[in-house]
Formats: sequence, C-alpha cells, structure tokens
Amino acid sequence: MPEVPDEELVVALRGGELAAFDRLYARYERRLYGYIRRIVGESAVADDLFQDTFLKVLRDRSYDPARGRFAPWLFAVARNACLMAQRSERSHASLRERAEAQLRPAEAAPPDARLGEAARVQAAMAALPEAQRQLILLKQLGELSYREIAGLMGVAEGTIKSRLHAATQAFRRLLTEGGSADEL
Amino acid sequence: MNCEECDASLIDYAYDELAPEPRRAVTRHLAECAACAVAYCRLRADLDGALQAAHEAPPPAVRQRLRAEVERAFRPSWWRRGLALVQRPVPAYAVLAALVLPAALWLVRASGRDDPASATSPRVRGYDAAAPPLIHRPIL
Ligand SMILES: [Zn+2]
Repeated sequence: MPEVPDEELVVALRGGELAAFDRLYARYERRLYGYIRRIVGESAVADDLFQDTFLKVLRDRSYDPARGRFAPWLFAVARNACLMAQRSERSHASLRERAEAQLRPAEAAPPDARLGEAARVQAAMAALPEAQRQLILLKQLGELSYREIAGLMGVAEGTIKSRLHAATQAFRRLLTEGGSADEL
Repeated sequence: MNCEECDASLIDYAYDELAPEPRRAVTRHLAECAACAVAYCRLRADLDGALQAAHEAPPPAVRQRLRAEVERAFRPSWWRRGLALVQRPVPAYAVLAALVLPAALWLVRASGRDDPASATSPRVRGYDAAAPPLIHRPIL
C-alpha cells in the first residue's frame, strides 16, 4: 500500500482527523527532535522548541499543503526557532558550551579505544562548525534537497551544493581523525 | 565515466542529487570498478552513521503534551463528529439497527403476551421434569 503523503495527512488533521497527527508524528519525532537537539543542545530548551515547531506548522495556515512539501517547511520553522532561541538566550556562550559538552562525550576524556562508533560519530558532528553541522542535518535528517535547503537559507543552489560537499568532507576527516585513535 | 569523474559525483550520488542520466553512469561505473565501489561504501557508511547518531526520540512526556495540544486545536465539535458518523456508510447502518432493533424486540414481546397459546405452551421445549437431575445420573 503506498504511503499517504505528509501533505495529505496535514489536510486530514486540519479536517479533524486526529489519527493523521499520530502518523505524521511517528515520521518526524526522531528526525525533528534530533535536529533541534543537535542545534540547541539543552534538552529542556529542545523539548519546548520541538513542541512549538510542530504546533506552529500544523496550526498556522501560512503553511499550505497544496503549495509545498511539509518537511522543508517544518525544518525551516525549526531552524528559525533554534536561531531565535540562541539569540534570545542571554548566556548564549554558556548555552553553547553546555550543548557542546553534552554532545561531545569524547572530548573531555583522552581518545579511548572503547569509545563506541555512535559516540565517535557524534563527537565528529559536534566538532563541526555550526553552519556545516546545520547543512548535514538538514540534508540527512530533514531529507531536504539542495534546492530546498537553498530556498530555506536564501542562497543559490550551487552554493549549497559546494558548502555541503565541504561539510561532508570535513565531517569525514573528523571521523577519520577520531577513528585513528582507535587503532593505537 | 572514469574514476576521477565518479569520485567527483559520489557525494551527490549518495545524497540522491544527480539527474537520471549521470546517476545511471555512476551506478554503471560502481558496478565495474571495485576501488570506486569501496569508496562509495565507505562514504555511505559514514553518512548512515551520521544519520543514526543524529536521530533522537523526545521524552514521552513531550509527546503527551503535544498530543493534548493537537487534540485541543483540531478535535472537531460534537455536531461535526455526529455528522461524520451518520455520513459514513457502516456506522449509518449501526445507528439504524440501534433504533430499529429495540422497537422490533418490543413488538415481538408485546405480540407474545397477547397470544393465549403461547401462555400455555412450555417455556423450554424438550425439558423433562420427571428425569433426575444430571448430577444423579450414572456417568457410564
Ligand atoms: Zn573507478
């Protein structure tokens, strides 16, 4: 049976079919929450942003399912909410420090052969500059196309393509550097 | 396509951003060239690892809160729900049956009381009052 598109589920939900929400939620909970967590770090902040983002996109009629895909809209709203939260956070620096400390379990300790693969990947992601991390997350978790990311960030598609190539290569370099410690 | 061209397209290929024709060319090259196939597998593994590590489920309480909010915002009013129920074919029959059945039962019972023959006939057919209760009958 073909999967019901996200956009149809949004229409159904707005028509009062609550089961449509459950299906949308199951599709996006881990992807959207993972994205927000990797940007803002702090879980209490992420919880609120996650809830606000979901509600805003579903409730706010400025998203019209007939005119565009759901995922880019959802991640665009999430990205803006994260940026606003980061800006409004007075202790921005300390928030980032805490976020990075939470997401970089390997950094405090010396390279450890026992470090799991998942932790190694997370450490490499956390070590990326935020702009590069954003791009990889939007591509991977958001499953957005170069064009959709370009539209969301207001830059040319070619620019996104070359930046995403650079980000991917930087991520793999960090992963290899971390990985080389395992072989010692 | 040679190895250099393949290597330059590998990230776009992994991100599913190639047009159909270049995509086919990369697929063909990967099928023929072990070195590029290994390079692609490594890239794929790194990207899949990044994806897996980035996935994270929110705490259950967050889901409950959000579900309650969604319910408040989108739950249709009682008259809309009633209308939807009647508009659906199967529940419509159920509503009809719910209305008709009690009336039919009442009619049957009422007509049974009026029939004098039914008052004298035994209520349970095949019941033999002279037979001993089951418990006193020999089993074999
Ligand atoms: Zn090759």
